[in-house]
Amino acid sequence: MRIGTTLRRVSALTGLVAALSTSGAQADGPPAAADLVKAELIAEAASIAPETTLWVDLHLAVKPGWHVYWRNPGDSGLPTAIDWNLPTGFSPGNINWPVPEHFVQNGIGNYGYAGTVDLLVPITVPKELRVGQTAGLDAEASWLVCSDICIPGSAKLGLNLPVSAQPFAPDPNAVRLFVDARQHLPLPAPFETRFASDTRDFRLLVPSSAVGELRNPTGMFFPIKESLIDAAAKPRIERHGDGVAILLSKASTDITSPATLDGVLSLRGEDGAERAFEISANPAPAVPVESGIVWWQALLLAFLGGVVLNAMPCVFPILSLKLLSVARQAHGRRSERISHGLAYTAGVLASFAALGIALLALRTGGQAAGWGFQLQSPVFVAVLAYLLFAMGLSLSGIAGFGGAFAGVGGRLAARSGLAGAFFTGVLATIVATPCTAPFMGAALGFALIAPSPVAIGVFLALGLGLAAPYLAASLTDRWQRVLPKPGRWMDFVKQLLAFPLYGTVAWLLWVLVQEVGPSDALGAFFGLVLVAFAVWIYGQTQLAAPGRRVLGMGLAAAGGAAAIFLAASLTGAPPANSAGLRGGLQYEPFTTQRLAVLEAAGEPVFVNLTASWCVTCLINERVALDSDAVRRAFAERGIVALKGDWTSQNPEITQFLQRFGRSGVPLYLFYTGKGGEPVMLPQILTAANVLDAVGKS
Amino acid sequence: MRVPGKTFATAAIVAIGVFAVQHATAVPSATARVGEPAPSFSASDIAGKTARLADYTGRIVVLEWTNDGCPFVGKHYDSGNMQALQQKYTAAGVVWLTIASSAPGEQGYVTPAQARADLARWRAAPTDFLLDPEGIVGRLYDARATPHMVVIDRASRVAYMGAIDDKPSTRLADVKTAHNYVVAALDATAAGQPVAVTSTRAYGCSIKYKEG
Repeated sequence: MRIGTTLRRVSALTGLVAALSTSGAQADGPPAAADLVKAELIAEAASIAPETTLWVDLHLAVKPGWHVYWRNPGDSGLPTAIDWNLPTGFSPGNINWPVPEHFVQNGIGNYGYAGTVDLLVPITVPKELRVGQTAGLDAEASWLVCSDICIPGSAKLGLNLPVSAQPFAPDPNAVRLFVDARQHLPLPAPFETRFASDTRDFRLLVPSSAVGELRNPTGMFFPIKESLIDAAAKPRIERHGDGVAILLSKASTDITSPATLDGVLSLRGEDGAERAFEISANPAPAVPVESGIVWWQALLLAFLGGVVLNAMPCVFPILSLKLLSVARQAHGRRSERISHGLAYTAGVLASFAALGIALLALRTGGQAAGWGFQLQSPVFVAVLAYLLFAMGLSLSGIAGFGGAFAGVGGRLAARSGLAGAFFTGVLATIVATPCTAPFMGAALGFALIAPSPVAIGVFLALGLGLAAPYLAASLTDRWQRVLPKPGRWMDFVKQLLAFPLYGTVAWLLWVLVQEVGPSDALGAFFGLVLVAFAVWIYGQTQLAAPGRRVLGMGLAAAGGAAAIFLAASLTGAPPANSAGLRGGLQYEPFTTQRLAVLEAAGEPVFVNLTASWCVTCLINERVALDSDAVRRAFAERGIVALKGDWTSQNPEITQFLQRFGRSGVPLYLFYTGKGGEPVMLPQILTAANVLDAVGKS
Repeated sequence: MRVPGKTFATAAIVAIGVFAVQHATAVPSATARVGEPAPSFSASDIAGKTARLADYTGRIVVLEWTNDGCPFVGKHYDSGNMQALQQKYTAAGVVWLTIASSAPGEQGYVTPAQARADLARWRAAPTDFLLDPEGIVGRLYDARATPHMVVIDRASRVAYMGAIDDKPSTRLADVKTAHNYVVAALDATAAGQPVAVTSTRAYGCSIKYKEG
């Protein structure tokens, strides 16, 4: 409902008119304030109900060429203010400021509004109100309106609304006005912003989720605090990781960094689409490390993580193979044994370096990639399954591939043995990637945001850790005393070790099904049959006459090629509802938006970021999260569980992980629902530590 | 030795011209900062004389940027606040320089005659009123809004820059309840004590500088 307004000239203005006419600076005299700004007070509802919040709009229509000011007016000017005079018990809230505009003229910058502006104010209505009464809400609005000159204005405005048990339906015009007005308000940021500073600039680091679909965005930041940022400077924008950095000139070089940089961030795409958020940026550490560790700690953690990787289920078959070969070589020459150890280490390091470079290249290319990213490719998963299956068959005695797979029997030519050791190192690295050992999360998170040489250093340290146990074993003579002499037992062990490999193949196939769905994975299953055929025909003709041998090898190669062809046709189109989303706990799919909504509603939220190929994640779910005790605790406390599936690429999750200094899954977070930073749970969960974390709420 | 009058005048004009150019080009690197030596300047006053900051070396100096059409300036003159400060502190030996940096044709630009009329109407009593239509002095002291106030101590260092007080409004009544930063800075400087608040954001009308 609209109420007529009274616009009054301020007494100060009379003085102003006199001043100008005597000075003669303005021949025509200044325009009357009433012509510059038309003010109205508009209520969202047609009546007031006790114990509700009534939204009121101070609607200002500003004459073209003039503007009024935002809460921080910039270099000059004055924010619009409302002085309320309300009945007892009513209390006005703060003005909800819409996203302002940036005005710059001759080196003076201002934040404000041209055209029409709606300043929304929530008014808390008390309980003690008699239905049938009329409540009078009075306000004196005052503003400064400027073009090249400034003129203060004010208006006494009032609303008289009847009191009813329920608020009456509002005027449709008012409904439209409030809907439009709310669209101009900045949204609470569902992402974290950080800032860095040097002597000249603040750098506002904005994640990619803020940019969203905007193409070639320009950025503007409206600071709430005065005197921090040069209001006349136009912010510059540049790429920063997946997101953008906005460079804001400091108001002067001796500005000290504030605890937080608060204000409104506005991003505008080249097509004019705008996204604006209320942000409170925390300072970024001096080195861009969000995990809060320094480089040598990252290297140490990476090394330890690498050592622990050896015991992980996905590396175990490879380790078994190597142990077997150590056992074999334990009775060979020491120098040969050492050179094998070094070759293996070289293989591991070379592969880790290659992985690191690939990951950094993807990062520079602006792709959202993280640790384990190779396994997000179904082709890679299928080929890895073929490889391990062929190795398993070889160990089972279907065919002997010579030294390549730590082949047994006879003396190995030193050369093929070294190549084999190197290749085993490569293989160990490839299969190790899905197993994120504890310590590795922080180190790899560091690597992804560190300068490139340091990042590669972290990867090499990780590789050194993975290679360390075998390298150590090859350097010592102790094995000789522990292991029996080579003999029939080695064949037995070798055939036994085929089974962990078959197990890994089974798991990889399951991952493949998660990624492409059962129908598309069928091709890869038939590929396994072709691999089995290839290995068998190779084994059968290995010792045959030369002509038959060539034929056998040709058939084997054809079988292998056909299998690869089937794998290569796989495309990563995950089924709509990935099986990874099922589990003992009732999960909702994770989105940052859903999280923001739940957080805003004060709900306690548990976030589980996982992937089907992440063995650590799956073990954590079986052991801890799906336990009855945890399920009961979640139900009792009304904790909403959100699961983010990173099995296939998902930039939103990658971005979210990086906010917590992680580059891969798992990540477990608990939001208490009372605001503040979430509790980060360890990467290896037990029911006890989950209960402990949620129990603190 | 007698110097012909014409030659003397030519030399003086050349010297002033060189001085002005030097200052115009020195602006970006020598902007005033609190605690640093106050950048020197010269400008024409309303009597047509060249006034220099260096003329007042050893004395406390107040710089006051004004715009006679600005309601924020009006608040401090209509309430009698600015004149009272000028009288009180000039009587105590402080140099008070009122400066207008608006470009010709813009609000706040005054000819010497208009400036004299303003002073008479306001009953204002600054030590001098300087005309800065090129905006050179204004930009040197990072003046962005009127009134913009600067206090320079006896050692020619900038002791305070910013707003006149802590009530950014055009209401005359606010003058009485506001905390006046300039008074605080002048009293501390006169007593040889450190200034508590050395820098604030001036509130008011933007200064209408010459373009470019």
